[in-house]
Amino acid sequence: MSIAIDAKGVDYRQLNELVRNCLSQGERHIIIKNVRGQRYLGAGLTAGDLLLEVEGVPGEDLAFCMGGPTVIVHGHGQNAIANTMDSGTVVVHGLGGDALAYGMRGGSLFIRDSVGYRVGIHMKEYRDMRPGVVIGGTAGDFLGEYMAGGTLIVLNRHNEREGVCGQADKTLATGIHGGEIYLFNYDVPGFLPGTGARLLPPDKADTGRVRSLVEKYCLYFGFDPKPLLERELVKIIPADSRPFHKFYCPAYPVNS
Amino acid sequence: MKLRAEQPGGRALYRPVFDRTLCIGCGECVRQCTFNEIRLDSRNEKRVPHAAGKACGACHRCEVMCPRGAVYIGERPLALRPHAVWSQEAVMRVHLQAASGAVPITGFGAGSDIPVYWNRLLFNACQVTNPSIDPQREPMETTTYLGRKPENLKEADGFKASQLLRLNLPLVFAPMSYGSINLRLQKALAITAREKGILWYSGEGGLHKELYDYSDWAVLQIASGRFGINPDYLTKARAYQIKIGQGAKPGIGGHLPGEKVLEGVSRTRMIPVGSDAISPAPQHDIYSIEDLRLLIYAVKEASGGKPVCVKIAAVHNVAAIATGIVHAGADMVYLDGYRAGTGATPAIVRDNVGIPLELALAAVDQRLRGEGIRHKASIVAGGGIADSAAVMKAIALGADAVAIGTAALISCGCHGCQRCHTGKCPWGLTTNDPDIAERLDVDWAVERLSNLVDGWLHEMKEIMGLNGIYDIGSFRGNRLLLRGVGLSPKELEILGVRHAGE
Repeated sequence: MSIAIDAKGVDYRQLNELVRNCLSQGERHIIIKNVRGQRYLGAGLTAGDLLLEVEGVPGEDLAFCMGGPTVIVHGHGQNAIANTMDSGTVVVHGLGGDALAYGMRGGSLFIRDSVGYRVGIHMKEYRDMRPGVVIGGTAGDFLGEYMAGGTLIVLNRHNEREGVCGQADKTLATGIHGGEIYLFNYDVPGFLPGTGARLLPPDKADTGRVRSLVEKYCLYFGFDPKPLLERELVKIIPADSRPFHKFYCPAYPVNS
Repeated sequence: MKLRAEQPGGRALYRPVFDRTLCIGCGECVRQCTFNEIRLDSRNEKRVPHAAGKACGACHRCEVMCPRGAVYIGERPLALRPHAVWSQEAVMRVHLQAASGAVPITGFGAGSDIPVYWNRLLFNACQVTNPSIDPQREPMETTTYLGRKPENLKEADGFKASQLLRLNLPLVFAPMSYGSINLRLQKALAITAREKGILWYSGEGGLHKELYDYSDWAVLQIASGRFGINPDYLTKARAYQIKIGQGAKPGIGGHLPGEKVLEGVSRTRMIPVGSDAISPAPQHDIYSIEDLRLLIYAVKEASGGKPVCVKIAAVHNVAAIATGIVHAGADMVYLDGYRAGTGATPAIVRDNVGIPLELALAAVDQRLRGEGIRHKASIVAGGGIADSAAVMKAIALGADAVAIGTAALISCGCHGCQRCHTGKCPWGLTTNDPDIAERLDVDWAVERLSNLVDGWLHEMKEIMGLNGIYDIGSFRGNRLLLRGVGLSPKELEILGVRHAGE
């Protein structure tokens, strides 16, 4: 059983209120039609068994601080999807904007195509919470900056040779101190990765983790995972878990 | 090259001095010093304390705790030739960096000789033609409401006053995170805030489960690290604070070293034990006022419409920035001044970045009034507020409420040794080491904090009364109550006050 809401001409506050009302009446499959930039859909929602389908283009901060539901967007997404998200799943059948998955602590985010700048900044992890982000196309600069946990995969489905994760010098994974980034079929430019990051070939356990996320991605979007997974893979992890360990000294003598 | 003595960078400027005629050799001072400055030697079958001269920072813990009053802290300055540039601090810093190649880090607020304008402002008082009010005998109104006020009388009819934050007096406890301070102190602040009907700000360390009972008096923070923020966190507070900047370190991020991330901090911040808690300098989803608006309304949407405060450091264009913040939809603007304290900041940033709160506050209030949007947001001002006079001067310059952080710490024992970042605070305040943190008794801290609030409230009422004002609302932004002394025309213009004698 599902219930549909027509979002045409409805203000975002009203729309979110409608969603919350449906939820409190026990609806667990809500379809929002004609979405045209209404913000904060799914924000702060915690029903783990909720399936929220969005038809159209949702506004910014989709699934902000969400804890549990599954959100499927039939259309492009905008900026700040899965901002500070705690758990749950977001699937976008199209492009993603800038600053996705900022400070994301758990759950997963699947973007079918490419994303903009500043994706995955300060993603983190805690105990059994490990966020996973799969980007089907390419990403912009500052991918995984300050990353503190979780797994970020750039699938590069169309095997682009340039601009796979930004064009500028040393912005990929700058300041990473936890988590891991995987890049498929990627010619690593000499200047990459950024400060504090280290480039490695993946080991067996890594491949297993990547496989499971990529297979989920393919399931959502109807691709065959096999040829995608057969391509070359590189991994980026922190060079040191305490990158700023020696950066500071006490301004006054301290006996240890 | 072998050096026989400590270079200035490694030499302590203070040292415990013992009166051996009073000392009974009990070793209490040794146990109290968390910096291993004191050791006990045996001499002629008597146990005698000795100072190493290497690490005393004048925290005065040994002095206060000695059962015989046999120790005090003495100064031990570097006897350098007087010089305008090469002061003791400058020489020490060069040596420190020559030895380490690192950035010297410190705690507390800036202590430089930049003017403290509070000390150049004086209150008016009633004489002859206007009667003063005796607050001991007559009722004085200090209740303060923070938040967005209605546009006009018509709107006021449907206005939900419950959206405003009601304070019994215009004072709040400044944001100090669990991690930078320990849970005992944060709990004491929370209990006191509830008892006194004021607010406590969480800082960005999340909300510990033990403090859930006090969350109705809490303003919880959302900062760039997004630590401990989950859907639950967004239902807990009375209001939320988006932190953009901090007065002690404008423009830079935060860094709680892994050593301080023990089990409790880990659970509350929701990060692994021992990992560095790094807060990026900006929030990377906010690069514009429009982005800020996005987050303000995201928080409102996810929290059921709770008021949102935006905290910024006082910097050059603070008035324009504050205007943007109010237009972005914030219900409160929190101004953190040049002298604001911190648990850790590079000394070079603390002492050289940002502008004094007095000038920033006056400029912001003036600008918001000029734009006709002052009613849309309240101003909370903090940073270097050392007494109730500064509170009332800040209110006269336009603050709706005033935040105290360092003063609260001092009331709980802090002597200003500025070593909050070491995690060894001998008073058990800015440490998470369970053995040292145990030194702070929560009940005692609550009593001290409550007394401080009571004492200041008496004085604040006194200052209102002697001006013939019985309602704090008539004091707010009332700059005619102030006169400046020894200030330039430009300073007076920015402060919006006249010179004494005018």
